[in-house]
Amino acid sequence: MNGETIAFWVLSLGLVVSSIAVVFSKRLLRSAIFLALSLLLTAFFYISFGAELLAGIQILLYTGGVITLIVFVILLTEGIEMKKLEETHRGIVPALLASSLFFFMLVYYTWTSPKVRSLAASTPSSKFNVSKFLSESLFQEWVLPFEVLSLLLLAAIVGALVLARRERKEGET
Amino acid sequence: MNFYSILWVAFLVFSIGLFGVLSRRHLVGVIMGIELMFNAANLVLVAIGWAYGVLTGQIIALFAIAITVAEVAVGLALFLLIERVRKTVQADEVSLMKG
Repeated sequence: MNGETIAFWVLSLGLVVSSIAVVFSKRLLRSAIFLALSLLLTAFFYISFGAELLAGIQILLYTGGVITLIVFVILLTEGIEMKKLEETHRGIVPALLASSLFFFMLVYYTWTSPKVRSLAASTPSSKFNVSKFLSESLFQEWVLPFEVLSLLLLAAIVGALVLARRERKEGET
Repeated sequence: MNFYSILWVAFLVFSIGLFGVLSRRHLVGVIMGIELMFNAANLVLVAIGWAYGVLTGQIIALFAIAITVAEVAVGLALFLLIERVRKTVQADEVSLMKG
């Protein structure tokens, strides 16, 4: 039991507990804070896989951007949320059945798959300067998906603006 | 760090997110469940790239993160629209397309 293993299990426990808190907490704002915590813990996982750049992007985009957006939306609709939300979940038993069935299906598949077994047996590669190779590969081999992604982001911006815009009545400035 | 334990932690988080999507009544709660599922999928991508010793997993995770952020923006805009037009924030009251 070395330090890396202990750190891994502590991180995993935190991740799972905060995910459960996201799903089960009664108040949405608290749920959003726990979501931020679990995304932050995932960034630590990325660091332990040698993906420091990805961890930074995760913290910037998720815990910086997405959580802010979610908290803003919750605060904007707080008035409606406050009434009759004593019952925050519906159909817990079938949802629990379906998700646990899915979990055991995934575990069964990976446990019996010979490919995953051989992958787990091989020792992980040594570290190299990931950020440099990542950017080189991103702008050479993956440049077409990158550009398509920028188009997708543009479409998402326009779509979100059009959807969230208030309709202006006649005669209003 | 065992490869199996990483995979199973990610699967567990994914199933928790699936549970949230299926059972939450508030639409933002559903979106947060989808976030958890995306996050677990990214974790699996990075873990598999790490186990193979290739960078492709990280690059696909990078693209997935960007797509997720766009998806959340559009989803929250849709939520605001539903809240304004139909005066509800609950997923089971938005059933226009249910036959």
